[in-house]
Amino acid sequence: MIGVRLRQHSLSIFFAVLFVLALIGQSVAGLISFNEDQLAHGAAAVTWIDFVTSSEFVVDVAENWQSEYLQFFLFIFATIWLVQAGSPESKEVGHEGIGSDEQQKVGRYAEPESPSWAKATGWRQTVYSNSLLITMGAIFLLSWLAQGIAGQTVFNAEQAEHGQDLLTLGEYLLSADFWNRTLQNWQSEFLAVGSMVALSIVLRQRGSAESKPVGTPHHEGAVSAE
Amino acid sequence: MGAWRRPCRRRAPVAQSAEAGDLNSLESGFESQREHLDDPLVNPLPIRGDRRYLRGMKVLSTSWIVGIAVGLVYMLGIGLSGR
Repeated sequence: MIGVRLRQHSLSIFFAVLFVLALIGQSVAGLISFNEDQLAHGAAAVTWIDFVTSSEFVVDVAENWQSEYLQFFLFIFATIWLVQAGSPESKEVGHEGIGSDEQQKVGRYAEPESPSWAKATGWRQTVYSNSLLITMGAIFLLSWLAQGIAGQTVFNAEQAEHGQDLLTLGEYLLSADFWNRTLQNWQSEFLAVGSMVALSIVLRQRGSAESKPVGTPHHEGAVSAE
Repeated sequence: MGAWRRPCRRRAPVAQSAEAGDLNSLESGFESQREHLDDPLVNPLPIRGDRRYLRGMKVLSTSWIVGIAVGLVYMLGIGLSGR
């Protein structure tokens, strides 16, 4: 039965394993790069533990986290109101908006097996109706904050090394270094999402949940082709 | 990303047998399908509302949220410590 259970959750487990492996790989490669820089400046090499508990490592992790969660936050939000004809990533044209209670199976339209907060009314239903967006948005903001705080430490260490003025957190959040780190990640996320939406209109991957079935006409989106 | 939702389809040995017009193989097709449906490795999807099935999904989602929260606290902690 363990094999069956693993199979039921294989997609999320697959990505969890990839994440851990990639994070370990990043920490090792980052350590080597950091120590090369240390030696070039006549400073002592650091251990792996020292490195993964430093702002140098955290700022690199956080800047990627924030951009990924921003990507999903925006994608979830934008697909409420915006559509792309023919894309399986989009609702059909004319279906923009948050939908009726009946369509969303909330309140008195909830099914017996619906989540309890979907059956509820008032603030609990409102919170649950937006829980995915709220969670993605919160993770984005917190990881962006972590990037800012850790980035300030790293930036100020370099400033001190070169005898230049240190920045407060507020000054750093307005600095070119902070926005360079931020925007270089955002641009790639927006490109990837946009291309996924556009290319999935005409391209297919047989068997993938992210694609229309191979023979589906280009003009059919997610809803009409079902 | 948006998930492509398609209706659940199961291979139908019955239909293949019917095309051959052989009632015996039609019957054996039913039997074969029944056997497969009883086999958890072939048909692992439990009944909707199965408590263990739902609990497994909740545990999985909760694990992801807890893991992400730990990561955020770790990163904020390191950042705030000024290391």
